[in-house]
Amino acid sequence: MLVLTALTLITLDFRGDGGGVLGSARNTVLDVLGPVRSAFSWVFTPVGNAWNGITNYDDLEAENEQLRSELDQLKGDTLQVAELQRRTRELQLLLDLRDTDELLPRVAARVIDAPLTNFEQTLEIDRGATSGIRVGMPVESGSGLVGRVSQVGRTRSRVQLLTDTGFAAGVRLVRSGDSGVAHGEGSGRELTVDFIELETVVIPGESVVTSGLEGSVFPEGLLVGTVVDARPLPALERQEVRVAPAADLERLSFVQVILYRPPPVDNRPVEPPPETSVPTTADPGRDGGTPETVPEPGSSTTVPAGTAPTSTPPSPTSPSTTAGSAPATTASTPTTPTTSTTSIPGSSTTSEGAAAASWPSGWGKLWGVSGSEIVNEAAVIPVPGAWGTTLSWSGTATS
Amino acid sequence: MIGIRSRTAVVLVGALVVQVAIVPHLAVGGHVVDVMLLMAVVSGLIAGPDRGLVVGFMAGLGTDLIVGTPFGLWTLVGCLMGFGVGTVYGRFVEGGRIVRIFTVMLALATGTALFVVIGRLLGQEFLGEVDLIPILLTVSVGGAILAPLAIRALAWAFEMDRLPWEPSR
Repeated sequence: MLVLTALTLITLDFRGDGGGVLGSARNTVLDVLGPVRSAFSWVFTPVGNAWNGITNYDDLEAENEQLRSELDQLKGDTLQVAELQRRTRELQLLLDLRDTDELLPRVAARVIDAPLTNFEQTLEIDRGATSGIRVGMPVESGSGLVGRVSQVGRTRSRVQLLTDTGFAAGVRLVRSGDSGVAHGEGSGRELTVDFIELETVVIPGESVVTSGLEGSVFPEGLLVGTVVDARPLPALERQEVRVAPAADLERLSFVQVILYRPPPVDNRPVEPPPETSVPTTADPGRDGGTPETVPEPGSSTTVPAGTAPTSTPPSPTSPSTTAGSAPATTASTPTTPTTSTTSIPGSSTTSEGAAAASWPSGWGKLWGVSGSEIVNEAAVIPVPGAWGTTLSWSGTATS
Repeated sequence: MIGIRSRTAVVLVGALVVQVAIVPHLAVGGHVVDVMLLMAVVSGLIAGPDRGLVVGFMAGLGTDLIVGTPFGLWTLVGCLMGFGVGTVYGRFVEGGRIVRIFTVMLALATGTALFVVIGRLLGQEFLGEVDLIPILLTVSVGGAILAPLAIRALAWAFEMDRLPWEPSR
């Protein structure tokens, strides 16, 4: 009976998508236990620090050395940065531009405690819904992105750290401008950035910032970290980049929650400019001359209005469709009932963790569509399956 | 019976407070002991499968309230481990202190691994990317250290005059 109850709870949680009664119960517990945690934190922080000193003594010593050398370097850089900031401000005034990042309101919060369990990289902060915080909002420290708000109580919130294995964010390499998706790899490990072109020159130490592409939960330009190294993956025509988080996630006392809500995604299909149009057939060279067919009206890929999206992410190395078969990714959209999205061979679909929820139902998001005009950018490609074969998208296309 | 329920509730709430307020400060390499799973395992060990199942359910429910993984996942694991340990220990496994310690360690590691397996089956892909070995080591070794305290607390909750392996007075 109790096992059945547990299974029922799991089902309810999945049906409620983490919200509903169970979500409210969690938020209540977060609020109730918050003061208890604060009180214990006050008592046990010195104990924890001593324990850390014992268990991580060697690391602390090495870190001290590194910090000293970095401090020396930063002292020299400070003057240069001030000069660059002054020149940037002058140019912004000249061009009548304003830094969007500076316009975003922020809420400062105190970090209460560290991760509770082994399978989550989260921390708790002493601000909640009453301060305007909502699930999904970005959290940063003075040195860079920390994570995003994953749970909000009345006066407390929980933040998913960017090292959490469930964390993903759209990022951009500052030097090359290439975009990719950063994933957390667990406590104390670097992030991994996928979907960086093989040809891109990635330099260790290069800064990585949030890309802020349409649909992203993060605004553009938040510092995520610096490149550690890059590993080419010739089979996928990409490289995997390891990035060290800029924020020191082990020693956070205060953070800032950016009260940023991603702008609604423009759902209106836009006619593509002729020179960057997406082909209705796939590059024959990639899948042995098998063109990808766009679903004809009434074909099996057209999903009736009101049905939930049924998306099957194709493997980047194996085309998602075969000759004459339907595209692997099909979905309905609430605005154009008989519209479906299609994937392109060699492409892969992904989502930015919770960010995927911010995309309109039934709209796919493609990353790293190589072999066509869209490369390493987020794109939404609705295909009017019932009325024609014209493809259109919103997003940026680069060749 | 009401007394036992109240005492069990007190012990489990106390364990939950320890889990959220004290254990995070004593992390080793970012990994922490799972006090609530320890409660499920120990209740099965000292009181058999039925009580192990109930305490496992309550302990798992407590964990589900404080974490962000799918609700009910820890509840299911708590049920299975409380019942499982209660069934296995005493029927198939019996022995002295060393055997009990190993039983607790093995059960904690199994419970944690079970959580990962069920979680992955439920589509929690990130669970496949965690470094499981250090987690299992921390959970099992830390649990073994805390087990005597958990045994005493639950024996008090269950109003047991003596533990099953203690000689009768």
